[in-house]
Amino acid sequence: MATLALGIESTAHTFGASVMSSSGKILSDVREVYRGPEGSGIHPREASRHHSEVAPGVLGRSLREAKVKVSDLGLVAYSAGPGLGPCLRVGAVVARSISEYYSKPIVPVHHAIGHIELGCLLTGARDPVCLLISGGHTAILAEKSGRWRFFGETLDITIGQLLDQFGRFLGFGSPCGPRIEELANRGKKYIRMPYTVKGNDLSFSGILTFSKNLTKSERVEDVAYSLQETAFAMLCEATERALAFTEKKELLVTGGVAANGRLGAMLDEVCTRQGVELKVTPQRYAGDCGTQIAWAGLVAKKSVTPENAFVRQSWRLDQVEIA
Amino acid sequence: MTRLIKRGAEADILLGKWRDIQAIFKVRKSRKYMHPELDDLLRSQRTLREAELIKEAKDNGVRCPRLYFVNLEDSTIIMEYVKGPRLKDVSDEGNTNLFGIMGNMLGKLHRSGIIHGDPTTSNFILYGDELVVLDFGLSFRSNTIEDRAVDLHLVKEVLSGDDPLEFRRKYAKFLEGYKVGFGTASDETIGRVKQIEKRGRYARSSWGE
Repeated sequence: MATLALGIESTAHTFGASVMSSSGKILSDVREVYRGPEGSGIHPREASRHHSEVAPGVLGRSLREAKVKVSDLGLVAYSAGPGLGPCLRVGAVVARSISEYYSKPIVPVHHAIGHIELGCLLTGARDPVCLLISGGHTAILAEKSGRWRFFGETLDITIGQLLDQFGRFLGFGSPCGPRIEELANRGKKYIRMPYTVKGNDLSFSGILTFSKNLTKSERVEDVAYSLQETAFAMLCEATERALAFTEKKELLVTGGVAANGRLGAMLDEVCTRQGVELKVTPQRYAGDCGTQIAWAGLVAKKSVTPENAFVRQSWRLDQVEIA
Repeated sequence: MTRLIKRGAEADILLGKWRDIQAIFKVRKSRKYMHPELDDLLRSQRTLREAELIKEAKDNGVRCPRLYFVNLEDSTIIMEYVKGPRLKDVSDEGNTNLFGIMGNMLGKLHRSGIIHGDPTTSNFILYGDELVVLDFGLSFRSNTIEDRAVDLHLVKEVLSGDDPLEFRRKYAKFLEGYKVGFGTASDETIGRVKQIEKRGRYARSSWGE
């Protein structure tokens, strides 16, 4: 018999609830996204307030769309971190309440594992190198001895933060990726920027400072263009090196930044060069959503008692044992 | 004439003949996914720097491939063919102390002001009974504790792919060798590695592990 899982996501800007079956079927995926004022990022307190307000509605809609009752559920999974404390706590409270009241097993899920597991399910990737690119993570990972190991990661800000912080500097509201891409598509001139690859680790903070300063003297379209070209080239180079080193045959791309068209085209070229299959998580499920959490919960199946269902703002991916 | 033996991310490694001797051709081919200007710059810069640093490493007593010819026009380095298994694929059982030797070599490089930049176990080759360090493609000159410690951090990362006990044993041997190779002031560098790890994203666990 298939198990039904409810997944609750509240790591950062998104509050989502989804019902999924252990057969891999997505029965519902409902989400509400907090949007701050233009030019500012996610205010943790405001975002958590948003999440508390939308939580009951999102949860109800998710169950109705899936046509299931809480009593039908086999487990409740929630995103336990890493993320913004106040936001994470909203999801954890919802999950604990359901778990306690209806006596359902509760499974804490590492948010990034959710991204990866759902990506594997939807693309059919079996043993990929994974490029996880979002606001919270920028990492190149591959499974080894029961854990996702880092084969390269950012040493400072993430690629999502680079795009967001530069976008906010220009007065856009988060998430700014699509706006930056739009600008970059109209850029023509390539301007040299700090290109920082250390071993297989990356640093983006130099590009951010450099780009901000450059807007005083150059067209903002050209700055956005050069920023993308430089940062994405770094990502591609590190990814290509990880593929060459691990000799794996698939590249899974997931996370919000996977939606960027230019980066997708560049990664396609990387995969052709390395003779590797490119698997990109469908856009709707690449960003934060409850489905990721529901699926990772079904895969992990490691439940805890409600009083041990904590959140962890800081939680490294390679500390999690995977099934 | 030449045969492709490895398609790296950085360059293609071809085996061919250079004046009747077998030689490696390291060719940095154009990466179409990059902006042409960035691509050209990275290729010529890295080719030149790599050749210079191989020469400097050799002058400082670190065994690396011998240079035959450098062509900046097509970003090619022609060098000695070092045939043997990668340290990654070699068992170090017995008295060989390969990880100690690896540490010693990296220590010597650092003492000479060279940061390898990619000191993975794929880049150390067992050639007969000597260990040879390859791929100075990401190497650079530096005398700072920070840069040296990043190199050690990379070694640690690669070794930590093994199971924890193996990792501890290998890394301890590596450090022993490193201390000898670098000399007396190596403790500060080794201490800095911990700091670098803590700077990693989400490294400070909320549960204090």
